Amino acid sequence: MSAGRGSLVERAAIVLPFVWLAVFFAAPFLIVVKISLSQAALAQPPYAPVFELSEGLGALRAGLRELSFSAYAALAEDALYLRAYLSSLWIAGLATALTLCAAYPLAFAMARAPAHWQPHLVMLAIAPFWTSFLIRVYAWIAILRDEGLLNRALAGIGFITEPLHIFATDTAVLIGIVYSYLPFMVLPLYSALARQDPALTEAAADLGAKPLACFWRITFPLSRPGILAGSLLVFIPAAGEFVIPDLLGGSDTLMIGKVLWSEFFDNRDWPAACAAAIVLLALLLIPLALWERTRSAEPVGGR
Amino acid sequence: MPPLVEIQEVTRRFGALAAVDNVSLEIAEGEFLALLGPSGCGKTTLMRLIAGFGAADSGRILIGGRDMADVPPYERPVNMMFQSHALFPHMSVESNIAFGLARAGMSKGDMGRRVAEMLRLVQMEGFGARRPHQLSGGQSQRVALARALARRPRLLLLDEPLAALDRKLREETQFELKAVQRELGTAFMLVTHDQGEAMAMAGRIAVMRAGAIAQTGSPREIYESPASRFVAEFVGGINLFEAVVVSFAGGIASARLDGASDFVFTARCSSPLAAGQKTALAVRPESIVITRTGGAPPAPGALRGEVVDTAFLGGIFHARVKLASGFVVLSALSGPAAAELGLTRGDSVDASIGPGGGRILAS
Ligand SMILES: Nc1ncnc2c1ncn2[C@@H]1O[C@H](COP(=O)(O)OP(=O)(O)OP(=O)(O)O)[C@@H](O)[C@H]1O
Ligand SMILES: [Mg+2]
Repeated sequence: MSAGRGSLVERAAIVLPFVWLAVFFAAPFLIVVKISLSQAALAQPPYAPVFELSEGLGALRAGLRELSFSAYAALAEDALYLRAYLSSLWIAGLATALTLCAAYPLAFAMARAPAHWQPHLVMLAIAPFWTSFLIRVYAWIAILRDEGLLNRALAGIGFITEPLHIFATDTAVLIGIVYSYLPFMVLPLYSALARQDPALTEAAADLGAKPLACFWRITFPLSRPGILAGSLLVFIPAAGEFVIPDLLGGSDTLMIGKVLWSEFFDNRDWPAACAAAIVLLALLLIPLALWERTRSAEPVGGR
Repeated sequence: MPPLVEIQEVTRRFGALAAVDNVSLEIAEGEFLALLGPSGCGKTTLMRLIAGFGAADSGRILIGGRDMADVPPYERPVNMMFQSHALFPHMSVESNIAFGLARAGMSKGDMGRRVAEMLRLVQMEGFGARRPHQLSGGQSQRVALARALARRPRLLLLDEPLAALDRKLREETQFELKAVQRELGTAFMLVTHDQGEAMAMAGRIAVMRAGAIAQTGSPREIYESPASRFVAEFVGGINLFEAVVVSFAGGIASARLDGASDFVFTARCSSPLAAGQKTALAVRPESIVITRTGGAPPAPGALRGEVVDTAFLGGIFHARVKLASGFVVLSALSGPAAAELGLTRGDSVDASIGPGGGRILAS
């Protein structure tokens, strides 16, 4: 009897994550896919067809016939979208690389700090999350504006005479992304570095490796899983970022998140916005899936 | 020839604790030294000081006559085999072994030859392409040995290298390590808390206690002439009789056993003792001679007792004899001698100390 209950619990443990995924991931995703295949309409909601369960199967079948790829075709025809995608991927990629450069020394220092400090350092790394994301991005406006903190400080020490135009440029967007996503890079890097057996670098030193060689041949390659996890955690949300380019970027800052926003709220073209979102998802997921495939095809490596 | 390593009055503290406490020790070129001591006595700390991990608070370490104070680990002519083996998980066995050679700037061709030679030495040919996680404990231990030896260090430091192995593999590996050491002529310093391992492998043993060296000597000296109660008890089985010094002259001491007023034992003793001082008489189990009582009172130098326990250990036979004083003596007899005596529980026997068999301990 207890065995029966145990297996029920086990089955629930297996099924529950799938239920969770179905409700919170698959269902919204399918709705977005469906809207992307609809046509914009002057109605409420602003697209057609709308499926009503009460109208029965016949109406459903008629509605399905109305679905088309016209929103995707429009995406392909308009060069704006292509440029927005490329620019998003470029900005996200550059920001990811910069975040990695900023996060690695931090994570390294955290992992090498005395053991009793480390929990506090981790707390500090995630401390920014205690304040609203929006407010922190707004704060950067105050820092980066022409008459902002940064320019006044630099002018004050005589470093510049003319203010630096950082606010409302792509540079400001990069700064915003690096700042906002830094903890997402620091934490996986820290956990990868803290997990490393200190005997490994000692063994390398014992075998004649100078500190730099120890780092590049032992520490760095062994932290690759952390680099990868952190980069994905930064790159994927950064590519679809809307708030940061909207607040810190200029009118010429082209990112797909902003395009999406204007399709939704300015043009009320939900199918176009949804199609743009689906294409972004595909752009991010397909390389990831391919990479997973090549990795699982390799003989088991690493640890 | 000057010694390869000279450790001169080295102390290393962790807070208030002196993990290595004023240690002086020399290691000769090509010798096999075992550093033996209980857990936490500072063996690893001392070994790491030689390898260059951590600095001594006072004292000097010289290798090949050169003071190592400012020499970083990567420039010392010693290599270490880590207790955890510390193989690089992201490299093949070959790359692990070649790692130190590449750092020394060896050419590709020489490197390949040396790696092959090392794999042969540790009998791991054909495993070069494996990753460390695809090796068993014994195999990864061999790779760690090959990696540490590949650079032909003048001294190899081994920190409990066999601790992870099961008993049979361990004994085999002990002989293999000895063979490798003889073949290469490299000096080995082996850290262990297993006295059997130290005795089996080393040419010389340094016994450590609470950060200090308690005694150094050949396995035989350590076993037969322990300098102190600690060494006597730590190395092999021992019978320790409490005693009081009667006289001391010219390196010969006499002591009377507690609880046996007429039993006076005379033996060599390395350090001077004062009459009336408390001491101990140490007798190895195999030096306790047992005879059956023939009704007559015990001969001079013998003590009467009763067999309380026997154990056959294959090859040797252990008998526990309870003396009149209540002290239980352990005697080890060879198989044939035991068969001849045919001892069983409850037998009345006389126990005496065989010729050259007892030591009066200085402390
Ligand atoms: N980094 C350190 N910080 C503080 N104390 C230490 C440190 N390393 C070692 N010790 C202490 O120094 C003493 C000696 O440690 P060591 O590791 O040298 O012992 P050991 O003889 O190798 O023991 P074992 O046989 O268990 O490996 C121990 O009491 C240990 O707690
Ligand atoms: Mg140790």
